[in-house]
Amino acid sequence: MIIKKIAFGNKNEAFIESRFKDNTNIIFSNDNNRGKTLLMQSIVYSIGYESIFPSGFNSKSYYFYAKIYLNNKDIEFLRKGNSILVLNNQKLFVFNSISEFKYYFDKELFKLPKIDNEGELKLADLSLLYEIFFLGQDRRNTSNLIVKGLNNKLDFLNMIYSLLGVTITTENKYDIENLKKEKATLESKINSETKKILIIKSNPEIASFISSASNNIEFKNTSSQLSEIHQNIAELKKNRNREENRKIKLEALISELNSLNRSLNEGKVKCSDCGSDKIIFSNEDFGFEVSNNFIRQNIIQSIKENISLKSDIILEFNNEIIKEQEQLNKLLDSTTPETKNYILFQDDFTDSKEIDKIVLSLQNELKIIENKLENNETKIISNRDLQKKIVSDILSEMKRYYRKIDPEGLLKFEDLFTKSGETYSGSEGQEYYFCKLLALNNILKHNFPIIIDSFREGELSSSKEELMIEEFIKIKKQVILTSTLKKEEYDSDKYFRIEGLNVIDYSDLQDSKILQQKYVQPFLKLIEPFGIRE
Amino acid sequence: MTYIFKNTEINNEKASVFETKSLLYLIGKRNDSKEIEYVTFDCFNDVSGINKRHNKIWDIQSKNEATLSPKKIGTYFFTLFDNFISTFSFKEFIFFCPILKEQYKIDSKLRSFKFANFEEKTKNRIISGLTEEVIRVKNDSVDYITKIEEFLKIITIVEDDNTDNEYIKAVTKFKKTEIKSDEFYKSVFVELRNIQSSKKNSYIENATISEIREVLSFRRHLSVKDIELLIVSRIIGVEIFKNIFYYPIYFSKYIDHLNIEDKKDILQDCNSNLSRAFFNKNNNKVFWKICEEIITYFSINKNNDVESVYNSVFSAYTPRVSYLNETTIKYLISIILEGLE
Repeated sequence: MIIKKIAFGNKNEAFIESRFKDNTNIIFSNDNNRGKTLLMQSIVYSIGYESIFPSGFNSKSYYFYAKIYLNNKDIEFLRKGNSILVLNNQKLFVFNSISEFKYYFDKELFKLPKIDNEGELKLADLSLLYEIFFLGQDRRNTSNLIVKGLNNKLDFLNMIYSLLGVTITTENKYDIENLKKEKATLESKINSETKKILIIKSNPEIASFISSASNNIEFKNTSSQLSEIHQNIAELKKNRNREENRKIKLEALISELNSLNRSLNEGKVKCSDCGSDKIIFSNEDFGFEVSNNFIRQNIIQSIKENISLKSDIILEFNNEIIKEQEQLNKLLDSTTPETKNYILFQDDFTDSKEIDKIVLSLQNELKIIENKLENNETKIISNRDLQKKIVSDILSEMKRYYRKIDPEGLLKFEDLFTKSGETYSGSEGQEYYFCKLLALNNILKHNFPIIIDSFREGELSSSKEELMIEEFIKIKKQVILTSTLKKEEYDSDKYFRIEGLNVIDYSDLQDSKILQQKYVQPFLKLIEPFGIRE
Repeated sequence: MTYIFKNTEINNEKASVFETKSLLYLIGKRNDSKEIEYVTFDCFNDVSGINKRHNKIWDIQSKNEATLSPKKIGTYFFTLFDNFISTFSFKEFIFFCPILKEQYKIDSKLRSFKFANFEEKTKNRIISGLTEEVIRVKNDSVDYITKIEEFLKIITIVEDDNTDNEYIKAVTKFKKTEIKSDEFYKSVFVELRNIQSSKKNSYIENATISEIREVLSFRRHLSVKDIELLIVSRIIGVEIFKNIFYYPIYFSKYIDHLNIEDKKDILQDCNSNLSRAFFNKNNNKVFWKICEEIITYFSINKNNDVESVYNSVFSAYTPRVSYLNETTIKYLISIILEGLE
């Protein structure tokens, strides 16, 4: 995989970088705020990373474009918000969510590793995968993942094992995924019902509040904000429900297909002379079967994969909905009790006794499911010895690099992450990340470039920096680094003296003005093939 | 002017993999493959091709023996030779075998060659093998020497150096580059092999025909078009639901104006309907007919406007099975159209 071109912007301002080469690239400037971080985050953002953008940059109002050489061809990506468009072989693919894109990524671009997720094997998230080769500038923490999402350190390790073919398989007694979903729905139902009781009990005179609140100016403001959030939620729910509907249809399809196929298995004709069951029906018409077993199994398998993708998408929508609802709660928290009451009591409900009954029956249902979940036996089968060996291989590779750049250094690598609470800082952290990314590169032999924003963070000494660059050049693949130089370093043209280094100078860009008007036309031309109407 | 069936395989064993390969070679790998309209099994020979006008026969004898000595080769030439001296107009005589020993041949790189490509010593041993077999079986006083010489001038020896996959791919223009699985081709190959062996279930030893076309009445044949249809439909089948983000570009005119959610619904419906068609064995004829008509249409016409293809092929169509509705058929047309490009 080679990054060829990165661009981002909209119809007002844009930036395009196409000077990347297939070796070690270093982007530098003589001062901060030249947009290097924005560029670096854009690279991975365009292909599905949950990027951490500099504060004050509203990523949702920009398009992010990447042209990437992968599987012997150029593929173009365009992301806005959580939608990604892909131009591959002159075919346009549209993804409305990162989960969809992930699924496509796995099918068409790069086989994603599978990791154990609460007893189920799931495709690793892109943000998790990119951590094997990408290091951003902010929120670094040697004791954990940088972008967590729904993943943790263990997921990272499992992903490494899976990338090296040491897979984990799980066996379940019940359909855990469904049980969990049922449990979650029940819990949220119980929650909302009990909330109603609480409110009724603490505010017996709701009706009177409502009339006085409706004249309030604050109420009107809040109300319009609320309606916007509600609209967002409604839209998300609509999309989620349609996915849910598709998923249910597919599940029904599987049983329908099985029954279509079954009718032929009822009873067999045999030749009474020789006992052979190879009796053929023959007449003027075509005598072939409509499909063969391989194809039928393939169709069923594909439908099942689709169902699991739909579950992922639904989960993603649910998370979005939760985010919006948190927004809603925040808004409600900051408003006066009157307004809040009005809003909450738009739903009419009768009295608390009725609700008590509902809660009770819901709780009973919940109990049954919880029991099932408890009794479930999950067997996770994995090869501990091989896993240990992988970790120790990576660690010894890390140590090898560490000795090269800092023979006197005191760091001891005992795991891929440091113990929580023990975070390397400054140049130590930088050395740790350097060793880790290169070791992962060598052990996994992965096809991704190495991308490090601010690779000399924390006052890394010049001599170590040069040693590192030397090692980056040695791995003979695309590496993209950024660095901010001190004045005397800048004046001495330090990077230009290193052979095999592609130097890209950002010093001419104005402070905080990487996005410029002059790039707008070329940028719009670049994204034209995606058929975007901006 | 009659032809008596002899030397047919009376037992009901499965046709060997090798015979299936020779079948696929015949209809896919030859320069004149396009002329062949029917393939018969175990009638004139293991596998034979017949042209549309029923006046030419391509005759194949296949032998999958690891070590074929020249003498044995000669012996196995006999059925071909026997056909050669029959009154029917055989066009080609092909001996289909594994790669023979290098020292037998003058140019050992050739995979399809004439008798002249054998070394002198090998030639003589083949001739003696064939002559012995002729004398043994014919058991008459006729002198076949000149006939044998004539025959050896036209026989072609074809050595098999392709995998099952390659043979299947050669039969149809229909391409889907996404199919990488060998397993898939294996399954189609096995299926063809089974069909081939089931075709041999009838008993025709000593039956007589006086014209080539009469052989079709034995139902030991398949039409080349049906074999192609089988392969194409299997390729379509295995791709259903494979990639839900992709749809054939010729279908886009029907859904481009829709928003993405509506698109997804239609594509899922079409895929669901096609999978129903592939599962419903009890209603296979309707689906076969539809596929056949589309493929036949494209073999004659060049047209990438799905709407007009539908109108000219299915103008009188009323869905007899609910899932094979208009949209699904248009979707199917688009898939086939794209695969044939």
